[in-house]
Amino acid sequence: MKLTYKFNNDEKRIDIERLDYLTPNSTEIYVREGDTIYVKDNDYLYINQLIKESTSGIKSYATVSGNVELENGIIKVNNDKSDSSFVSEEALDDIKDVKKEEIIKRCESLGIDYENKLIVNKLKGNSRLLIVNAMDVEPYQFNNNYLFQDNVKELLETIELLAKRFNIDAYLLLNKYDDNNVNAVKGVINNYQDVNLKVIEDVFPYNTNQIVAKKFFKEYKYGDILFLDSFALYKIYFAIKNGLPVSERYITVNLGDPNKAYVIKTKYGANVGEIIKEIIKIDYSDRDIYLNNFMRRVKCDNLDSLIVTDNIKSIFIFPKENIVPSKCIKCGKCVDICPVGINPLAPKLDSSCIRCGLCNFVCPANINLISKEK
Amino acid sequence: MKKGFFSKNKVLGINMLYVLSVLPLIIYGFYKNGILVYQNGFMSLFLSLQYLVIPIIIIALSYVFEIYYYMGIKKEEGTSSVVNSIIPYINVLCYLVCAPNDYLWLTIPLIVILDILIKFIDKYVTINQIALFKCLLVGIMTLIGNLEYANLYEASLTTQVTEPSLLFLGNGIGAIGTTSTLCALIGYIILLFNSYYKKEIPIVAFIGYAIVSVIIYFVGGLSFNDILVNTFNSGIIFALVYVASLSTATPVVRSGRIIYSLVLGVLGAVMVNILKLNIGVYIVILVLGLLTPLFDKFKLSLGE
Repeated sequence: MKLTYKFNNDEKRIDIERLDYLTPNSTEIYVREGDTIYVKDNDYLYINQLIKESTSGIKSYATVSGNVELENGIIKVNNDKSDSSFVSEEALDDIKDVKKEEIIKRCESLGIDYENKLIVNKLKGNSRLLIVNAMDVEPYQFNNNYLFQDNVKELLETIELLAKRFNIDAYLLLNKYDDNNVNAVKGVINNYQDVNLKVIEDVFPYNTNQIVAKKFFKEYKYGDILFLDSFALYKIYFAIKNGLPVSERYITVNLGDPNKAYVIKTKYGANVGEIIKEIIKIDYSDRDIYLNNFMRRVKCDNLDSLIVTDNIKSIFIFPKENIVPSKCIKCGKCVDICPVGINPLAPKLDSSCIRCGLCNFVCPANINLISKEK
Repeated sequence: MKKGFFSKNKVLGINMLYVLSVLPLIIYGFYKNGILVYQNGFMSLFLSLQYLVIPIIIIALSYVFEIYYYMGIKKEEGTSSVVNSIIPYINVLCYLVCAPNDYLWLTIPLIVILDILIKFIDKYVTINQIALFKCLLVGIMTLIGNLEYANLYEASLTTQVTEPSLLFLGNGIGAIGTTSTLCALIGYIILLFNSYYKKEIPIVAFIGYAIVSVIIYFVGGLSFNDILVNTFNSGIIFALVYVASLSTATPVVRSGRIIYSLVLGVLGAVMVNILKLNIGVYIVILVLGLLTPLFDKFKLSLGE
């Protein structure tokens, strides 16, 4: 499947291969100080069974079934591959008539989160506008696109429901070049009177929340906007419809070829190293690995200790190279390209920096401008 | 080795384009000050070759200097700083602003001394090395009483060529690489292919220069021909294309670059047309280069 996508104003047509890895050997959850743990060593867990709750109320669930192993601050569930699962008695046939209080109750009881904050707190706020961004904000990521494509009807229903129950304007943002989603939504959008469709160019970083709000929704204060991505919206849908947490997520893997990417559907907590070895079948021991946005140049030293969470959206496995910065030639490209209009050459980085990494990407001298040791 | 995602080494590519852009000037300088002078019997063929040999020596010396500095003094392991150095390009430009006279060989040590000096002070101040070199050179030549831009053939002529179309080609008296506006424009076209070249500086500065020149024409009593002659003889196009747009000594913020260029064009026109100081353009570039940090502050006020 090919998807047209714009990066740094260059239009690219990327061949995307979709893969599934839904039976990992085990899943892991990191325990942090203050977390309440609901399982013991050797317990047998079903899929969707509560494992722990953080101090902020975010809950983590088993995404595979099997026995628990507790060691060194990690809760490991060894997958018996039976897919034994809890079925909620609160499942609904239809979400159309669900009341506002019920939406809040279901999201609250499941402790689902978006950007490490409880979704229920966002819903309870005084937002005047809901924006669902069905694009991936960071470059060369296609997780949101595909989750939306797989659940168009369900997600549109959820936007419509939230708009009605919370009495707010609702916009769905789609990538202009994503023909599949744009055509699918345009075909049914008339059935969802409260959902406004906005088709924009998916040009990084002009699809980030801050810039989208500034560019297209000037009449709203930034604080009055409730931003959600496809995953957060899907979590809300699943909580309302099935009374259960979502156990699967997509990650994008890129091997250094700008024209080819893999989008892998897998389980929360699955080991990323295992996924790469089993599905893509490459040896990454002599590669440079970057997480989420390669332009930030945040390297991952050990892929084998990395697990799938909402914070791991894409993995870039590049040929190993020694990046040696040379002396700045003061060409000013970093200043010209900065989407928030700051000077990345300043000794102290401006607080409005969104850390998009574009300055790093255009720098001819390979200087890491957003690192502290500039 | 397979090319990595970040293995772009764009600076080397940038420097190659810079060097390519000065080739027409070097070749024309060799033709005008070497071949033509030899053909008119004022110089041996061997001596005329100095106008090709000196830039090659300067490039070689620049790399020796950079290797010694980065690998000898700074103890860097890789060669990237040497390969990516912009110093050879700057030093060739320094050669091109020299007068084609007997003292030409003495400029080589001056270029090297300036390289050493700049290495120590460029952390603290933004200095346009070419403009500084030119000002020092003119100062020294004035002190020793030898500020003469005519080559041996030109010095023998009783009248100067002042027809503007010939001056555009580069037939006027001037420094080795600065007389030919045509070659400078060819260089500018080459530099347009370099996306890291600050291409708006020569355009905006020339607009500023042209506006002030027109005002002077109407109110200052200069004829149109005088203004054209002043423009071509001062090597203003060379100065704007190569010296004023030197990336290391110009503002990084676009609005700052525009203001810098306008001020440069206006003051340059005043220097050349009113004060009759051809070196004035270089003095303005040197001073404005020192003020680069101030120009970079124009960003906020212009609401970029």
